[in-house]
Amino acid sequence: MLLSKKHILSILIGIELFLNGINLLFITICKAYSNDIANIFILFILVITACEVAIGLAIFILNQRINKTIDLNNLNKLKDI
Amino acid sequence: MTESLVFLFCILSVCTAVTTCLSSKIIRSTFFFGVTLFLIAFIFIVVGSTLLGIIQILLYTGGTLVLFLFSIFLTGNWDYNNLGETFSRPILAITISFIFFITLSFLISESQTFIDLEKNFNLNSIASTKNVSKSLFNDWVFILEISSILLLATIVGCLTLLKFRKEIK
Repeated sequence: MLLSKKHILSILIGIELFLNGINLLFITICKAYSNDIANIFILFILVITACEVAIGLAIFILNQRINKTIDLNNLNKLKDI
Repeated sequence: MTESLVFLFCILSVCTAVTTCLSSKIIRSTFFFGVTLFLIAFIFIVVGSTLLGIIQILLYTGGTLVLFLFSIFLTGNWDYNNLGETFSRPILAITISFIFFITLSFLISESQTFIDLEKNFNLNSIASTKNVSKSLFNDWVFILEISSILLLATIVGCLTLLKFRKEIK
């Protein structure tokens, strides 16, 4: 999904799925070793994911406002502002 | 019972994740993405990490998913046909993801951690919220502060990005 789609929302959803897979791996390790450190790692991953999505969507809306398009290839025009 | 539920939710979440990737419309993709997040939250709850499950539902369904939906609705007048609706390089993407999957599976299956994991796996152990918060505010308080600064920087960054209204001719 990250490689084959050109839409920025699809790419962000792909990254989210990727990070959720990592969360599942962490919870598996947490269950195997019976400690709570993996829970804390998952909390931090959730925070980072929320930040990444917020920034990504802000760039998406900015691109749509300025370039009047949602094409990912026009993102380089944002450097002119 | 717990194992069956976890197995069921895992299968369902994999199916919905695949459907998310293969959906032709971005709104359907977002819908299936929400279902995937719900299922992962249910997995967290079933295996005993209730705190994480609730945070997953609150943060993703209440935050991230609504952000996605708002973004789609704010840009809803555009023609999506030539952008995210189609796969631009499907063979390359499938090849790279297959190689990545094989490499990752090999590395995980060969590691000592995975062997220990198979021996010690216990679904019935419950992660206590008290222990998590005690550890979070004692051992990991520095990282917690960095996370809060990161969140603050994200808010400021988003506001700074979205204040631009100039159009490029």
